[in-house]
Amino acid sequence: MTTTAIHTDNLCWERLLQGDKEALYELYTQYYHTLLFIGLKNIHDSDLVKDVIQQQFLYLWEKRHTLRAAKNVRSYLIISFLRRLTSDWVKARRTVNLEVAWSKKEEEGFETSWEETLIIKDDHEAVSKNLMAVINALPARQRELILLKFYEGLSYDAITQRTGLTHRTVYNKIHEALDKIKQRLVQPAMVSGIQSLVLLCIASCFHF
Amino acid sequence: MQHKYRTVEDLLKEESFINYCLRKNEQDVHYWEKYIAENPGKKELVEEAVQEYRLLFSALAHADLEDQLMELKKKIANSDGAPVIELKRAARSHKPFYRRFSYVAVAALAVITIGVYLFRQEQRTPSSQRSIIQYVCKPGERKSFQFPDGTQVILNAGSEIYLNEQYAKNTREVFLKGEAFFEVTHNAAVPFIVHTASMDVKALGTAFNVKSYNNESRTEAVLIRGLVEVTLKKDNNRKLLLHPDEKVLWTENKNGGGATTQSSTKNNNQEQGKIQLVKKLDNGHVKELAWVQNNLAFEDEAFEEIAFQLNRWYNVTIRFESNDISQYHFTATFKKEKIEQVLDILKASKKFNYRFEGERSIVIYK
Repeated sequence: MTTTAIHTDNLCWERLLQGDKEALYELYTQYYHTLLFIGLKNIHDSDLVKDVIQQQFLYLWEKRHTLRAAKNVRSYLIISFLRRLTSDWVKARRTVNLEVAWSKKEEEGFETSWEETLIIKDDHEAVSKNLMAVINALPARQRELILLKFYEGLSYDAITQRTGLTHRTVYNKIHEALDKIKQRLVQPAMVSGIQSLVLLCIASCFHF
Repeated sequence: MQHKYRTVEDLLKEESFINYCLRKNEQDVHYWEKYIAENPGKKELVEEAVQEYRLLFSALAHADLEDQLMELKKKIANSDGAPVIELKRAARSHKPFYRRFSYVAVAALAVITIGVYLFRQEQRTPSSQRSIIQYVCKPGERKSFQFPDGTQVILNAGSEIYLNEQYAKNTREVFLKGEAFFEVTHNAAVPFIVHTASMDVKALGTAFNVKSYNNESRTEAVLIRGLVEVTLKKDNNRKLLLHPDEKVLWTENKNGGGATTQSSTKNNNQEQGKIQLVKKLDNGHVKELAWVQNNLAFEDEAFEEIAFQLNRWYNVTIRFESNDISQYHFTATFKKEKIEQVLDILKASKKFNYRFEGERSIVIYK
């Protein structure tokens, strides 16, 4: 983590302590995926993990008057989030495993999860916005399935179990959605993006 | 066969390809790296698919973030209006407790237990043809694991569970000595049955607790969610249906064996084989399930019965020098206390003394 990032975080944190709601949302936007993917590593229940993240930020907002200056906002957020995730019922379930696993990680520091590195930020804003619009326009069921499949990376079996739909339905709906996305996505911006990438790859191939 | 991938979509539909993109498991990563190396002509296609997947993943990530941020803003707006958040949260907190159990991962312990099982099985096979899966918790231990069908189980101290080899094929029947909490994977075609000495509990997809220790005369079943059918074997196989938050208790009339005293048998006889509502503790949890949360809870129970639980929980042996004391009743909840602390606390409410004879043997006296 770069020092500028830490600095930005600390500024954000200070604004939060002063009651700036936007600062809370900025922190949320900044750390949502960090927390989500760390959480999902241990608890394969996205509803639950998302809920705990919400609780965490609600807590920050409610307690903003009593919070102290944080040295490292990122690790504070991650550690307190994991504590929250372990407490209550999760704790009952797997106290030992989780706590041991996490205390180890606390010492090592939290690396950025692979999933997080996959997320393209800013650069492709236009393409991403476009895709998002397509995704948001999907029927609710298809949107949900696409999220489970390509975002949470669940297997077809796991999705079947989670949704109670048949294997065939899950498969069909996901493919339908994928086709829709594909159709609307054959757009110049993306094609050129892929082309340039492909060219780059070919170029690098020749290099070796 | 490896050349079946012709378009980006072909790849995106492939489960292992998504795993490769997400670095989800080594095998798939290895497979696709090898695939690229062996099929240089497909390299472009794969790269294109990876990039397209990243775009899709990013868009989904942003869409999800937007949803969640909106949700948060709504909640914050509510909390600014009136400080009701805490209340709301408290009210919902115990409901998802059980419902959400099902998705919580159990990998680590499951692997260990299965590992032990395989080892045992190997040793066993020569002597017996029918292999049995066995899970054992010694006193002082608690374990959680998953059966082959995904059913999650937490096993309390001093308990054993057996499954036969046919488990999950035609039947899902398990044999329990001791106490366990089950979160049964739904499968209407193959009912899930827990057998104990005096009671069979049959479920179709549900969460429940069964307690049936050999050295205790009582067997009880508590249902948290769903519906179970209890068969009382010692009562002409009478069948009962349990609904959530109900329990049923069966007390064995032991002839000659066991430590049951008259007073406790008398007490329990009124409850014999009848459906009762479970009592909730102050924190909204069910007493019978306190152990699942690493709590040790008693509600107006005789010291003698409490001693059984302490023995298992702490791996000790408690002996009473005086019968009076063994009939003292206590109500208490313990979490992380040591056995000495537990006894000290009980001692403060009703007078008795205790001494250690050796490391694990405790004598209670006047």
